[in-house]
Amino acid sequence: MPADLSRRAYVDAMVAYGRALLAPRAAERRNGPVADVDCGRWLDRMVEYGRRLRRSVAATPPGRQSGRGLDDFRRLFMKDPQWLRRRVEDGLAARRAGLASEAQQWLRVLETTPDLLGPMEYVRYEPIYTRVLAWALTPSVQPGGLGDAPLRALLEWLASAAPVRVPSADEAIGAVTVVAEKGLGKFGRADVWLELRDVVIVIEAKVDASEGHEQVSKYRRAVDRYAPGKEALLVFLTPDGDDSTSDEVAVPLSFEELLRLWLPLAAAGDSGEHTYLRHYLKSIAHHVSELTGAGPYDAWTSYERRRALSFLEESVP
Amino acid sequence: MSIDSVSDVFAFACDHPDYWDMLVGEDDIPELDTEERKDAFAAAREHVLASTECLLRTCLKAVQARVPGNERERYGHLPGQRVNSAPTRRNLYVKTVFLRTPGESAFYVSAEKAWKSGEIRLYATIGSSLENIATFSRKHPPAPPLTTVEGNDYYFGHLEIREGDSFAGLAERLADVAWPGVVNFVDLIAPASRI
Repeated sequence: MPADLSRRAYVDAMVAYGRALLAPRAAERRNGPVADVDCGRWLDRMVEYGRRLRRSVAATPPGRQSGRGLDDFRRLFMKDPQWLRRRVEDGLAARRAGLASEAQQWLRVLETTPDLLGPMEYVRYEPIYTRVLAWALTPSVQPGGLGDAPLRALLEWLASAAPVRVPSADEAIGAVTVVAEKGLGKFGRADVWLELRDVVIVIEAKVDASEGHEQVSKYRRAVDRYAPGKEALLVFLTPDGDDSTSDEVAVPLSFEELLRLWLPLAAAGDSGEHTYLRHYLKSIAHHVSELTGAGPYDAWTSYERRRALSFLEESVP
Repeated sequence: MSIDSVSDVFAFACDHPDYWDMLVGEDDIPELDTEERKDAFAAAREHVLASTECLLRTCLKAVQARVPGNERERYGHLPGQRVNSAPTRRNLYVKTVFLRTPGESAFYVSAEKAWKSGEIRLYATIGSSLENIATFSRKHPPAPPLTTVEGNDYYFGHLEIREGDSFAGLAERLADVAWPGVVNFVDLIAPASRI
């Protein structure tokens, strides 16, 4: 076997191995706390590394591969573009039909039209995302509304993911204060300042921008200053769940994980608050996580439908 | 790989957004049922990615070449070009940053889907803070569909990518479209008196 093909086979095997290792995590996500979050994140990265390596290896023998392979592409795909489209459509239809009923409910939320931010054309404008995030985390007293469910869901997830002790929702939720874009003087401005009974959760969200120098670390000092005696819990929210570059420990949270936490809540009611949350989550799914297209499922491209189905299958096995 | 013009395969990918998605954004297409089809698809993927990268780099060089020698400081460092590693890789672009301007402004050349219509086009864009973009838009109102504003990005214009087009020719045309906008933006946001 030529060396490049041998390498490619090795990388293919590595990716498959990584996937096999990751498969149980989907069940863990649904059934309870994930004990080895760091391990899981490491594996995610390993798989991504493998993918990139495979691309790189595939690109190694340029001259030879682009001859016959491209002729085959012309013959097999360009002469009849519909062949692959039909196959893809059939495959996606089967996958959609096989979704668990809970996943079907999530999918209906992801079909919400229009999404909240699309018509405003500020589809990746960070402050809007964080303001609505703060709204959702503020316990509601509206009968039949969301109540404190979004906050509880976040706290329960943090309890399983944070490297420090996180009080249970019952312990933490007392007089809750949620402030978006809270000015902290020389410490900067917190995207979401969530002050609970004994702990302050500071959420720093990034959609496209990168983190400022020791940005998250400053929030811990701000908690000492503005909420003395309370513990600080820092959360770094990004599209891919990236780690903060600050010295302080911050819990990485991806927008995709936020969807997993809140899609079931949004699907569980028909109040105005539930509806508003559905429109917000659709904005996240479409514009930040790029899991869906605009409009309903049938209007999405095959690529978008495949991504959405993979997300649903992984999240709700 | 040295590629200097738009091949039939590259043009096909640009004209068929669903194929573009699969070639550029996905590594595994489970519906490819034979090794022959997988290999053919992999070869096309490699070719499209390499073509895109060559085209974007050529475009960026064409724009950079227009920066007057004594103005390089003001226009920014034009550091090493990199093709983005966005999660989905659907919107490939080469990016260079105007370090001097407030808000870390950046000039982008990208091959990406036309907003709403879906075809793959070649774009020239300035990305900056909302404040900078708003200031610039007030003085140079966008005229859709050629020039548009989307959030932090001001799109100077776009070109179709057609089979047989030379990369050098496309690059010059894109520079023609983008350069006046670049000059206007830098003059407004980083006037010479500030340097």
